Amino acid sequence: MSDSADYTFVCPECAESMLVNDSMRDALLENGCVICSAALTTDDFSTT
Amino acid sequence: MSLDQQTELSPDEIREVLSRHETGVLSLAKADEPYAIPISYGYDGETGRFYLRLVSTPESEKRQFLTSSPRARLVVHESNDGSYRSIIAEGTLERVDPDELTVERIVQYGKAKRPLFEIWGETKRDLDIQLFELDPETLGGRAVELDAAESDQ
Ligand SMILES: [Zn+2]
Repeated sequence: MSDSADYTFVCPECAESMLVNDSMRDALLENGCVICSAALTTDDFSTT
Repeated sequence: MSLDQQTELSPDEIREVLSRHETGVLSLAKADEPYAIPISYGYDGETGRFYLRLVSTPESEKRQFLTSSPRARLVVHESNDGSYRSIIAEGTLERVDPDELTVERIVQYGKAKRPLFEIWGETKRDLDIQLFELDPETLGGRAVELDAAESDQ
């Protein structure tokens, strides 16, 4: 299931939160927060 | 300066200019009231779509212009080595719901860097940051060689 939500993401800078799957988590770690472009670490994701 | 020193940019040249910049000016309208704002964008040369990030405060006048799907014009321009280039994209601005994010969008917004945040003296938490996409119905570019224009006199 490629679009299942496995993590809850909360941005440390803009406080945006959303549910993401594995590939979206990887993309966010690489590209930064999609809303505010803050650099992210794995600490910003928690398993649901 | 006569018009024949102005040349149309090819699709490849337009892609090149758009790829080496990340800011432009977006114009919106409400009835006969114009509104133009600086924005940062990511451009996908393959699909031709722009990925825009717009920043506003809750009381910002920008909100009035961001109806559900406003008509918009985006201008990106540059000037170097004696030549001036400008690109104009026109189309409908579509709001991106954060719940509809995809890997592709995350990558594209990663290209829309944040220089515009620095002009806001507030923390990101207090700002309203909205994501939009522009799939242009028309996209055109022009170049003017300034040196040629001067030697013409
Ligand atoms: Zn953020």
